[in-house]
Amino acid sequence: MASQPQTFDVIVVGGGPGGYVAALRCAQLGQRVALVEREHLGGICLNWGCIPTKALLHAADTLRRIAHAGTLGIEVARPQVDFARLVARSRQVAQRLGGGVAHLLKKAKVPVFMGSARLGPQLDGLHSVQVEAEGGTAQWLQAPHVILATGARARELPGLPFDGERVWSYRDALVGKAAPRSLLVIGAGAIGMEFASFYAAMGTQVTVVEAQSQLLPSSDADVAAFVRQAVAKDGIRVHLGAVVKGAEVGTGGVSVQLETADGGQSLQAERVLVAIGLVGHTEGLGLEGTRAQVERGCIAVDGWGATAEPGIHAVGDVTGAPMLAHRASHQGLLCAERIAGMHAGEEPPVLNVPACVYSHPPSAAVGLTEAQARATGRPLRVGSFPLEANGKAIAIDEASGFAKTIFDAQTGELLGAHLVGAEATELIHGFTLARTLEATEAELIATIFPHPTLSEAMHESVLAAWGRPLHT
Amino acid sequence: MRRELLVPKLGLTMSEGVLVEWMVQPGDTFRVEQGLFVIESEKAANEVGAEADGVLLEIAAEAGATLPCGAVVGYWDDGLEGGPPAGDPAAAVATAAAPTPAARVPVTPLARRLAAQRGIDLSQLAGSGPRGRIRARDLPEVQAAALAAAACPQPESQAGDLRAPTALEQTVARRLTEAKQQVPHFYLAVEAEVSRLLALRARLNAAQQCLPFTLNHFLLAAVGRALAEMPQLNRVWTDAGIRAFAHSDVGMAVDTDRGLLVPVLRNVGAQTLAATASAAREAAERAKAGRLTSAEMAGGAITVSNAGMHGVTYMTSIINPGQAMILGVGAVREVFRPGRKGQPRLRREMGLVLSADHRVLDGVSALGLLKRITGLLENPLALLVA
Repeated sequence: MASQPQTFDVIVVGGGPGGYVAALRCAQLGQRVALVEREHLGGICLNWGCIPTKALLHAADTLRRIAHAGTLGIEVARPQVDFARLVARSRQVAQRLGGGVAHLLKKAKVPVFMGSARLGPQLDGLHSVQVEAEGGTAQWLQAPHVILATGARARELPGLPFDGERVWSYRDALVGKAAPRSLLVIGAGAIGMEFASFYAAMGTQVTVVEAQSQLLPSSDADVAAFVRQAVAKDGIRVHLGAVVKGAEVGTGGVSVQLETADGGQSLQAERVLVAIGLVGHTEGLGLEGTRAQVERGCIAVDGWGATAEPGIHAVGDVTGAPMLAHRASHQGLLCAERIAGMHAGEEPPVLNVPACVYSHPPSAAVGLTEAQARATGRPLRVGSFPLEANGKAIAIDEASGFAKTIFDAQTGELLGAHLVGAEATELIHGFTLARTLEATEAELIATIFPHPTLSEAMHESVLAAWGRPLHT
Repeated sequence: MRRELLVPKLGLTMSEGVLVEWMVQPGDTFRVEQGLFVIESEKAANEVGAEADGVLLEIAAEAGATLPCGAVVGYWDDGLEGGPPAGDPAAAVATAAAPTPAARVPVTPLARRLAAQRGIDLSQLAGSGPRGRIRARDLPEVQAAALAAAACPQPESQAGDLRAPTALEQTVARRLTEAKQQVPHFYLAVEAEVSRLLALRARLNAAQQCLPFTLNHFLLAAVGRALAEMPQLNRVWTDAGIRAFAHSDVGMAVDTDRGLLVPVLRNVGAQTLAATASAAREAAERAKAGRLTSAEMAGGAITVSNAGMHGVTYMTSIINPGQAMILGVGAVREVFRPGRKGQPRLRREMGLVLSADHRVLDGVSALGLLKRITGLLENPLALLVA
């Protein structure tokens, strides 16, 4: 402890969408707040997740559109992909936004300390945080409140450790030097399916292996079944209910042994992407010296982000599923507001978190799946509407997919909404808003959706759920 | 100028009411304070009077509709020149189509529907949403049994039909539950020998041309007289303190289509029997017609609940909320009792059970009142003289 520690009201550890948003909100509420970041502002989302993958997937969509331009009456020469430039643009996008976060923090007068944070001893009700910079120099900060927003990293498959060469994590898949001839994706969640879609569009022979019985295991079963058929048309092979039993990394590629219901199988691929989930960054934070609990790789928190240790809070992926940037940001807001004395005496809100998958076709959901809704035992009303019957979808040559809504038949509560097909991820907010405002079917039916838009399918799905569809 | 007619909020707990009837029709002119329509809320049906002279233009809600406070039931013209927005028919139609419910209680659509389904009064709730908006999570949980019933649907024969109680049923249920749970009741039972009363009543009715006296009129008169003679018992417990009444007011339970209503007759102990009978007849008529106002049902320390015509022997009643006593009256029965020398004597007995609030009465004082009532019934001539 070389120098006198700097004192703040709040120290935020981690500059991702949970941490930097919490810091901005703290500053807004008049708190003196510092932010500690180990690698780069913006976190995984901005640097290695949401944003750069969207840049890649946009390129894939554009390529697909050009390839289909002939059906619109536009003849185009066969497009050429410069893979290195495509990846380079994705990195540029990430860097630009990282700079944006730095600017926002500077504008809010939030000092950023680069280095690894570790909780130190408590003194006079203040938590101390040691920040160790890359060169080994250490600095002490202290504050009554610390928000841990350290995020998560890819989970390794036992027996198939990441090597950055043959066995990829999502990070490696973002900066491939060239599209591999073949890619085996282990795990058919959002990350696995997005990379499967991207590399399939780049001409890679993609095979997806999933241990559970459906693609996108947390999605509604109808959506998953639709996506499975759709990705088959993009040339993606799928093995469901398949468990990886062994793997061998050779010079020419990787060989993976699968166990399925109908026996074993061996698959070969040039590279493997392991996307079987994420594990929270809980190690090295000094949590063992506190009452905060770490359960299954995640910090246990209440609805406000408080841990069992007074003054220690956590938000975002490090607090467990659903590991989504927008959920992390929202937790960050609530946590910051609670620290600043807002929401005193209130019950923590039940978060209404939409989930989006940007694969081809994209899908989005909010609330319960039909299976989860059935499990509640409530009487349901379920409606869906196909994009084949939506005028705009036909006009833009995207007439594939559907909207599905699930209501409590007695109360009219919108229990869940599921969209698959063009712009699903841009549309789901309509249903998210409906749920937040506690709209019933009556308000949704009374809402005028503009024509011609894909959103009309949302309206029609509600009408269908209540037995009065117009266009089917 | 075209103006709205709204469902008034007639009490702190009122959130909705039933539009019982229209007393004027579109095109009718009315005077200030003339009754326009009848709204039933809680225990009372209330005539809603005109705030000024005018003409009814339009009816926006039909009789029988359950409406939240503040809902538009119709439109009237006050005959004054006014600003254009109020006269704009498009705006008026829009308001009529979507009546803004529950005066100034912001509530989400789902919470509003759940409250209606569960019979919850939203005006009693604090909202946790922005600006106090009531959300679904702010509503009291459904009874565990109801949840279980919803979760595992039972065969129809077991489950029965579930419907939401009306505002009136809901209020009656809540008030009676409160009374039975919060008021420490105790009960005293006696038999009154009413042979003389029956004979007097027969002779009085034979001697007059007007509407006949009923036993209930004598009972009300006896209770009023007893109360006037023992003013120290004419009091009730309130959270603010013990309230003593100056007048011998007596409530009268009236069975109506809408449930049991209790108009309170004023200063019965100072009235002649004929005046009491006339007041009781009018109150019963107004109760059955759903015309009682809240004021007509307020006050008094005691109610007479006569179930004699239904043949019950003894009736142990729940004290009417806000009062301290209720006299349950049974049927007149002919019984043989041993006389002075042990030989059977025919008696005509009426079973009386007094339920009393132990916070303001004890066994001795309540029995004193009951004995005085019994004495007046057994020697009813006293009821005819001041």
